[in-house]
Amino acid sequence: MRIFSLLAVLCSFWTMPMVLASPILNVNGKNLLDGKDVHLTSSQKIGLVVVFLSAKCPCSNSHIAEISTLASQFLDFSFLAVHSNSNEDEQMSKAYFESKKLPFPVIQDSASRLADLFKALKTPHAFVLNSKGDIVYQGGVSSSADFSKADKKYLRDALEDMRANRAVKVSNGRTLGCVIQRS
Amino acid sequence: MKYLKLLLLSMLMFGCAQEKKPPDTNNLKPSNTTAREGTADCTYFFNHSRLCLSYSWVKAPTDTELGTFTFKTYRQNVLDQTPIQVDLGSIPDVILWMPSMGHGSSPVTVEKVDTGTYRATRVFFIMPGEWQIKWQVKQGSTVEDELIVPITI
Amino acid sequence: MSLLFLLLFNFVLAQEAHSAACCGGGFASPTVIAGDQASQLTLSYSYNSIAIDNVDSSGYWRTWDTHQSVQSYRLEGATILSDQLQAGIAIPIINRSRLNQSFSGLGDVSATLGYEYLPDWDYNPIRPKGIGFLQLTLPTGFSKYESEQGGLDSRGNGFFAIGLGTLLTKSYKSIDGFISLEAHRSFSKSVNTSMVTGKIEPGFGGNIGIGSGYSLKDWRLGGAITWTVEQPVNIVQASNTIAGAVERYATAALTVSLMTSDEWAETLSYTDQTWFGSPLNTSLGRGVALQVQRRWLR
Repeated sequence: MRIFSLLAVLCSFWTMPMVLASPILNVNGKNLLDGKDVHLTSSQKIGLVVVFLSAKCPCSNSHIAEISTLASQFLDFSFLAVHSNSNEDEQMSKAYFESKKLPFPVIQDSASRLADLFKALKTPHAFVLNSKGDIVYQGGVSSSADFSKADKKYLRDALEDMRANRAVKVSNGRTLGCVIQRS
Repeated sequence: MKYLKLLLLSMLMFGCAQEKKPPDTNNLKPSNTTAREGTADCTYFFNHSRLCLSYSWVKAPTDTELGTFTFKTYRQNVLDQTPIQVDLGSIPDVILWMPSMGHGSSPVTVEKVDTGTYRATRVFFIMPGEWQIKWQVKQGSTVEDELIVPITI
Repeated sequence: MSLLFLLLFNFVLAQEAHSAACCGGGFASPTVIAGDQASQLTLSYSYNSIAIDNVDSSGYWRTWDTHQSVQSYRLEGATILSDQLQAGIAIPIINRSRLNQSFSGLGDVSATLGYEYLPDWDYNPIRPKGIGFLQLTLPTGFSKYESEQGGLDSRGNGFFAIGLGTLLTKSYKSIDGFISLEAHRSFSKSVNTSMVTGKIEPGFGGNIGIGSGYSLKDWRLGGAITWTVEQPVNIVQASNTIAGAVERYATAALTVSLMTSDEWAETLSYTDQTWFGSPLNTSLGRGVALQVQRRWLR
């Protein structure tokens, strides 16, 4: 009987990642770069891409160029970066993201509110929401900690599937990178 | 009650190991079972032949040195129980075995000295604890007769 | 990333030490990738000295002045076969010595198949990361049951064995923890030596381990305990059966790990079997080990 109880607990953990979050229709916060309020809705375009990034993590840094390229190639999607690491100084982080010249806002998530809402684990951690606010993809940007060595580009493939009105083939990708230090 | 059981189980699992000393800590010398002169104490006997056996240490083994013991096989005189030395069917193998640990020790050398009298040399117990000395009389690889004596080192 | 990686060391080293101090036996620790790397190669060296020569069936501890010592070198490799499936192999070389006698040779080679059934693809404050593993042990090591040197020349279990287990890991900020559960079944074999002639019939055995650690930058301090139990091993001979006895002991480990880069890490550990548990029918040892690991990232 005890073995079955243990199995039941383990199975409940197993199904947890399969239960997607409730629809997220709005994402808002303060822009780290200019201090202004940012408010994006998932219904504005085909979908909304939210990527959790770090100012220090090498894995996050190696994917910045790809994310910027995706933002310029997939103009029918809204893009948003979120900075949730509590152990990264705000001034230092601002200087870092300014130097990267990202074509989308970076929300400073000091209280880890957005990290907890999305259940973001590491940096980079990407989420793609459809126009209804459902998360259709969550996981790594690619299959490698170093983008230049990746053989699979999960985020790009998910966006292409959505643009072609197909179901996203890979809805969960392994996140590789540095664990988000929550406040 | 179940919380008490859980607590006790936790204590058992996490409990620090308690060294437990054996009742007789000065027990490196094995017991001497020599039959007294004029009597035939048949405490140990072979299963098949029912021949009695007694053994005594010539040199007790230590943790670094090999030991030697002699053993005699005999039957009890029907009239007055005095020992009558009798040879075993063949020179027996002497095996040292530690049942709780599942291993033996290095081979013991056995030679016949006289009628029903043998000497076992190169007796070595690799560790202290509860051992068995086994005497086995074999025909080829088949054990025809056996005697097991427990011994605490 | 680094926390889970360093956590692996603690798990492996605690498990590696979970053989009875003397006479071979125990069950090889599974070779699993607990972190996110694609593959890893690990080389470890350990030196163990027997502190308590014998704990008997009544739990009495006996010690002599001279003891056995065991050195082992272990080469392990593991790689992912797919995103959640992995395989590994471990090859140990064992040297056992006492006074002027010394015996060396190959220990029990083991192969492991692992599956990450509880992946940590998103954040959950409660859910651990879970890896299940199936392990096959080959009787390439010489067992104590076949030994004519009191087990001094034994290097392993000497049986084919299959084990099933799981490793659950969880980290929270700088603190991490793991639980490991494993059960195995060894299979009988025939033996013919000057000591015994017959069939050795082992039974089931198992291990439960728990551990925790604290990370500071690239360093990690950890501790773990593994409890081990083995069913009696009986020897069935033509004329009689030699009954074995339950073997039981607990191995505690303290570790210091350093991640010198994303690809390299080193761990120093101290293990002691005299601290915890209520041992039976075993020897208890103390040892130190050094482990170096090279990782290839995904």
